[in-house]
Amino acid sequence: MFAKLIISDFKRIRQLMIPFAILFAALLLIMITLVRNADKLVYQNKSETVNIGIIMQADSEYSNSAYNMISNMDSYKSICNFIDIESRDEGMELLDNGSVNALIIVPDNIVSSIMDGTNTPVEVIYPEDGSLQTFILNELFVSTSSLLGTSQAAIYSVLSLCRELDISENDFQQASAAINNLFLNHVLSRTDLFKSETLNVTGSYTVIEHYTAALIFLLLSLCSIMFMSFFRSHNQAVVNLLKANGINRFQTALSQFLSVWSVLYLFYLVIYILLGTVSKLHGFFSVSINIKGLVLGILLSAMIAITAAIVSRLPVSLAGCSLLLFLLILMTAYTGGLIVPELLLPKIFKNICPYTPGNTILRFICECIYQ
Amino acid sequence: MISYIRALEILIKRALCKPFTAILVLLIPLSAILIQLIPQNDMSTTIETGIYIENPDSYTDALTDKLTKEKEGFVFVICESKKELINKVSSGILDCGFALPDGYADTFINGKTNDKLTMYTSPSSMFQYIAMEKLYGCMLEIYAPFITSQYLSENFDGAYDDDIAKRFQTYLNDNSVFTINLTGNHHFTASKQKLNTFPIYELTGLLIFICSLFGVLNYLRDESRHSYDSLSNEKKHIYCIINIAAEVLPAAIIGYITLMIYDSSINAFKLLLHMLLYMLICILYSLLYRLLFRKYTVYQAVLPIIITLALLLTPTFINVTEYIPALKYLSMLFAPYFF
Repeated sequence: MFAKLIISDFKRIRQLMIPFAILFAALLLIMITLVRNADKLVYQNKSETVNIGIIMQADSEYSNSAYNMISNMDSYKSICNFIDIESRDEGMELLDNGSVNALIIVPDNIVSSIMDGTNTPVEVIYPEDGSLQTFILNELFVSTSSLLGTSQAAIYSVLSLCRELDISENDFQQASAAINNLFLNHVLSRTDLFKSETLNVTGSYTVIEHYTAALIFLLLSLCSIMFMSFFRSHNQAVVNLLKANGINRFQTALSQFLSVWSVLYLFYLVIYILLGTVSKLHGFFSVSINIKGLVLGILLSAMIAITAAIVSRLPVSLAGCSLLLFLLILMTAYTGGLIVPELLLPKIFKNICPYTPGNTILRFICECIYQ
Repeated sequence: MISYIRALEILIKRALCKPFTAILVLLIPLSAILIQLIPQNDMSTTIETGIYIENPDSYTDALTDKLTKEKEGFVFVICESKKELINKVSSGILDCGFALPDGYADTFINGKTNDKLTMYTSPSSMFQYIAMEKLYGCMLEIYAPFITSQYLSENFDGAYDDDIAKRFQTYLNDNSVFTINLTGNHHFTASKQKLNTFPIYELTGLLIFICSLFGVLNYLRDESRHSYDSLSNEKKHIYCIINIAAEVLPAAIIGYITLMIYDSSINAFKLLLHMLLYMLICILYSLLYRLLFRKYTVYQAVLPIIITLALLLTPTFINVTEYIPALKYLSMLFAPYFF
């Protein structure tokens, strides 16, 4: 009799398959679009290029190589766009109308003045608005010029000391060349002093990996709300009839649970194989199809089905049960860091996040589906 | 006609008697009151870079003193631990961060590159290279006397530490080295702007939309209980509209009054027209959903999904269409897009 009940429940749940599949497909499409663009949503980076007008009349090999060296520096390349300008008047006009954020006027004798110690300064003209862009530019210019200034101060101090020491002209020239090379090499190889490490707000997994795992849980959970009506389909008359045939409430609940579990696992397989295939073909999502992933589906579907079954047994209306399950899923997802990454949660949720069921589920999914 | 008005009156009373609808309707004025009571956020316009020093010593103390002098614009913040630095950079609180390993000053002075300084960035970092130049510039200025005195001690007899340090400072301060002449306004005052970014208008639109969805839910529930079996199809449509209107009207009225009080600069007539039009749009959308999901059991299961998608795709708390333009057409499937 129990077996017949299971078969009839499977037949009954088939009626919900088409609306479930439509809803599943629609949600899957939208969620995959959101996951693919998760980086843009999480990191709302709106960097703007700043235009710098440069008037450089000196046309020597040294001044051109100095200009190329500076314009190729990562600090300048990342935010600046250099515009060559012919004359000061043209430059001032562009500055006034906002076409450039700063105007640099390089004197004709820049290189010779540095070499002979005259150090003719470079002129930098900013507009009067005092914006954050001009402040950032100023920081950049001051930092770059300070490298030269600091190196010169160190070199001059050594050379002035050497002049007071009783050393030959040859030794003095050697010391001058050595100290110049020391600081030149130090400044030119300054990027070798740093190593870069990019961090993710989602921890050891990338943003896309994080939200792919969250997608799997949210998709199955939200779609399980549809089964509330299935769980509550037996009225008192049906319950009495089943009882008369030797089927108690537990067996009824178990039969319903098995049906819902099977459907959820079937759709889990669909999404898992889809993500795995896309990962293999395009290298996106980085999901690998393995035994752990398949077992994960069994456990995840069972957990979601049990939760839905328990909520459906509460003494409230059908709409109330659906809403309650929805709120429960939302709360689990939010506190677990599935919607907003843990590091971005408000402080109170950030502290409890690692201990929440949502976070445990997320970590478990990530461990199972990613290599 | 009178019977429809009477039905509307009864259904409005039924809607307001339900705690859920009453809470939903009161959420609009409650949010507006809460926003007024909560202190408004100050917007800071500093760009913060983190520094973590594994083992502070006299060399690094001089560096941190110099780096933390600036309190506006581009500022450096000392982090007590590497974990704090990493968390703050990951979450975007700091634009980027630098971790100086133990004994780094010695590495810098000797020009070694085996022990590197780690620069932590996140995908939202924008000024990491500027921070790197600034940090290197500060380190060079502080450690240059040590570099030169090391060179002198290796090549000449005698101790020149104090002498070279004095000469270095003299040359640095007397403008005999290379400088740049600055003209114009390069100063920046971090003006603290008071911001109130809570989307009260968008929330009002969303709540009216949710009320309209519940109107359809009520109608379908009544229909599943055979309340409208004796009516013709045309009258069933009218009663569906009445059910939706019964849920929407109280929310719209309270929303209108709240927005008028919240923002006194609003044109009352314009807002009234806008609200009436939006109510019509909500009713139309609700009728569309009713056509799509004809059964009560299916509709009540799909309802939370519709609300979730409306929250995600319409510009209530976040405007996803700004980052993913393709979703603009999907967001048009939900009425709050038009509010």
